[in-house]
Amino acid sequence: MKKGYIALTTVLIVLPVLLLTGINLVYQNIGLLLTSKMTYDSNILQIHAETCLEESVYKIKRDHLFVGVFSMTQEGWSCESIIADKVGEPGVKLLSVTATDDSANYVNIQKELNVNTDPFEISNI
Amino acid sequence: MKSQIFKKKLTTKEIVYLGAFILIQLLTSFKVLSHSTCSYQTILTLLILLVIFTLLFFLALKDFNTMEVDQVVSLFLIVFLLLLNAFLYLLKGSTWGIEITRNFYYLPYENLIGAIILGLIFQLIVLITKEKGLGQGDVRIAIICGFLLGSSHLIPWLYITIFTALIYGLLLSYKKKKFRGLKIPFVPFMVLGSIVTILLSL
Repeated sequence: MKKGYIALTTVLIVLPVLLLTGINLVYQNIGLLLTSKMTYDSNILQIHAETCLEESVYKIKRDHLFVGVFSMTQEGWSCESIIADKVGEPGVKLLSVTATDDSANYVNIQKELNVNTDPFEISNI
Repeated sequence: MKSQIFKKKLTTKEIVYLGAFILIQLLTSFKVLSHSTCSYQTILTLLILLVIFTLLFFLALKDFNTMEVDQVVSLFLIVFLLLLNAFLYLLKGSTWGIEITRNFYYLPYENLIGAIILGLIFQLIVLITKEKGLGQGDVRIAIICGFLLGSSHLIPWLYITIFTALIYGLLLSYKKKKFRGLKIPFVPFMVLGSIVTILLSL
């Protein structure tokens, strides 16, 4: 037969160590969750910004001469697209799309759109 | 062990204990069989787990009454689980596991790691306290629990085990009006921790 007991003092000594380990784990997991949420929000906002970019291109398709600010407001997020002509290159437009959400995160996309070709050519700046 | 338990008339405490044991076994079986795809691997693992838990229950009951751990049964369980997990690990690799339910997998590699970690921690406490703070028999049961739960379930298991033992210890010390040198049986709490951890994971 082997002894099968634990002293109450041992339990009380082990307890703080266990609690510290637990608290440390909780903090680590909170950090991990926050990072995951920020990554998720950023990805979603990127998709919204690209949606806004598509709408801007569609607007230019209907009116090749359009310049100015184009805005979209949806539940939880909004975006603003600034459309300008590129100096010295007629038919080439500069698009700056900024999407923001309720948590004040923002994503900015900057593109160059050539409306002289069919279909339009879009490229990064 | 069987003769010790069944030759004498069971006390009310033992009847309650046996009732709880049967209820938990049935609950575990029901949860596993209602969730899983019921492959032969799952059913075989469930049967092995139920047999192991039956033996653990009797070890816990014995420890509760005598504060001693049966050497033969505990050693048999350690050797059996070691061989089973080592064989499965060597045969199938470190990522292979048996799906018990959608949330609970029996992973031989994790189980080996869990047993090593628990064995080392508990043996260290035994060596530091020179067996005054923790019995050698508890190390064996901790190793068995490590084999059953795996490394990923060790923290919840430790929490449940330590806290239930603490509550019982404090109640006992209040009842006996004694704090220093009070010893409490630890195997029932380790078995309880294993069961609760598994049931919560299923």
